[in-house]
Amino acid sequence: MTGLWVDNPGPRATVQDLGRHGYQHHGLSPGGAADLHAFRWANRLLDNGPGDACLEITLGGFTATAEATLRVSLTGADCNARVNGTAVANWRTFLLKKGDRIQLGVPATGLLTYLGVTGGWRTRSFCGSRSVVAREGLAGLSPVKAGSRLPADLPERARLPDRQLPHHLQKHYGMAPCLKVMPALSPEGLDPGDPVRFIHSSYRIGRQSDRMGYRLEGPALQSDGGVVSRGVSCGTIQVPGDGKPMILMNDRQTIGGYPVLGTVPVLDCSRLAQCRPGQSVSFQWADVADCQAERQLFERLLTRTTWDKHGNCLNQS
Amino acid sequence: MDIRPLSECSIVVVWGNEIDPALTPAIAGAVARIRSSLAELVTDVVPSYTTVTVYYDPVRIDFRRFIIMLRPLLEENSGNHEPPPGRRIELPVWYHPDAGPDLPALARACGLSIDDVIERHTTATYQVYALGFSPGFGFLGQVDPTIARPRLESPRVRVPAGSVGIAGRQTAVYPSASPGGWQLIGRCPVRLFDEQNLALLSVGDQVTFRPVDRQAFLELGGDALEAADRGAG
Repeated sequence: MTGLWVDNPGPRATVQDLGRHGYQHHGLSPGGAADLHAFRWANRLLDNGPGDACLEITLGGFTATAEATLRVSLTGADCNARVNGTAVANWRTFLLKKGDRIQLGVPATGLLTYLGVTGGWRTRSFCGSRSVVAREGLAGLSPVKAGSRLPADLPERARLPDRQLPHHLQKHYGMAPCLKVMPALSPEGLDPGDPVRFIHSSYRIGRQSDRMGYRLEGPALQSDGGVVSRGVSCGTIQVPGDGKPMILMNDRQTIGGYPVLGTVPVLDCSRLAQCRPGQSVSFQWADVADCQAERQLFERLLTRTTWDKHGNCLNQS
Repeated sequence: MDIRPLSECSIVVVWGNEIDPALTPAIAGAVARIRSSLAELVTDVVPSYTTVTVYYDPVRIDFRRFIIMLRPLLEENSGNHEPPPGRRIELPVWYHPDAGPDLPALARACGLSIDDVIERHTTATYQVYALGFSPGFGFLGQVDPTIARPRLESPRVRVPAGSVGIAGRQTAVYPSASPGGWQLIGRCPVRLFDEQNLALLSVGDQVTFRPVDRQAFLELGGDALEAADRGAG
């Protein structure tokens, strides 16, 4: 075993994977990486499994020291990372040698940065997942603290050269996004004009936004406040009694009783998760088939992207 | 019954829009059949009062084909996977103002004595309609209308683990300490969630409450030290 000693986790850092699936009927939140796009590429760059655990770092500020040689990857918000003071590029892999110190600044745009390691971080697994849902307070599943150690167990693997994701596949988070929404076909508890009002409005990300949900500030809708509670998905847009829409994210509760306007697909939730309070977002309707096709194309791109032994990308999609 | 996509990776099956205890057996049956027949495609099956939400892998199947596979499993008697009948679970509760700080005010608001409230809360048999809010938190109904009271206007920042609360015609035991707005009338020493067995309750179980005194509460493993913070009714 080897690992990374965390000197400073920054404002918030949690270990995340694809989430804790199959246990929502016990009331356990699924959790999981909020930006699936950046998370999946952090693993793909290292030839990891799709669900190996990465560190999800919020607003940079993270510093740590390698206990032994580690191959790591950085994706998501660009924090102008440095290793022993020398800049390293984002969306790529690099080697940390024993005693090397990695330091992340504050990103100019975006919110979440993923630090992957060969084989994934080997923190506690519970119900098949290492994802941390801080609110649930489960033992060994809390945000990373200063002075703690992230264990890694490097599997035997042919020595890889450093790899970088081609520029056209890297994401940048400066522009206000227009997110897709699959409309609820019979939105009980809402005014019939609300879906139209919502789709033609621009909203700002509210201050009380976190991994549980994103609040939207803008034209209020006419919610009657409650329906019979039912299961809610990542991206489900709920409208509480104050009329301010709320988009549920990975650490959501498993059921919800507010009227539902529609659902943002997971890959667009990934983009939303990179937005900060105060940023603008707008919306467009999409149908389920389009969102499924886009997800399938993303998976295909991940599996078809390969690198040669010199680290050159051979994009076969 | 109505089947609708909720997202690109989930479908919601709706049996009705009103809470009805008669729906729960049909919902529990559908859950058991979906779990056993579609295990390869399904990631989560979440029953609630009048619905089942089914989460699946959109990379392996598209929603039209998934609905075609799902539909026959929603009909009753469509397979040999009928669910076991809901279990009967009795939970001990220490009903006392020290354990449930809203008990005196709730009794006053209902025009009843504290003993009347306890009797009416323990006479009924409750059905588990849904789990959610926090790990192991079961929504139980229906509470006798004469002791049904709304949530506190200002929720507590911290409700101690084991607290028994009322919100409208629902009642519940908080499995872990959390914020919460239900009116607290007592405390239960039984753990409703632990990491070995996960949630004690499942949708469809029948729950009754049995009053115990402080001594029995402590002997059953209850923690009487932590007090709830003040809520505003």
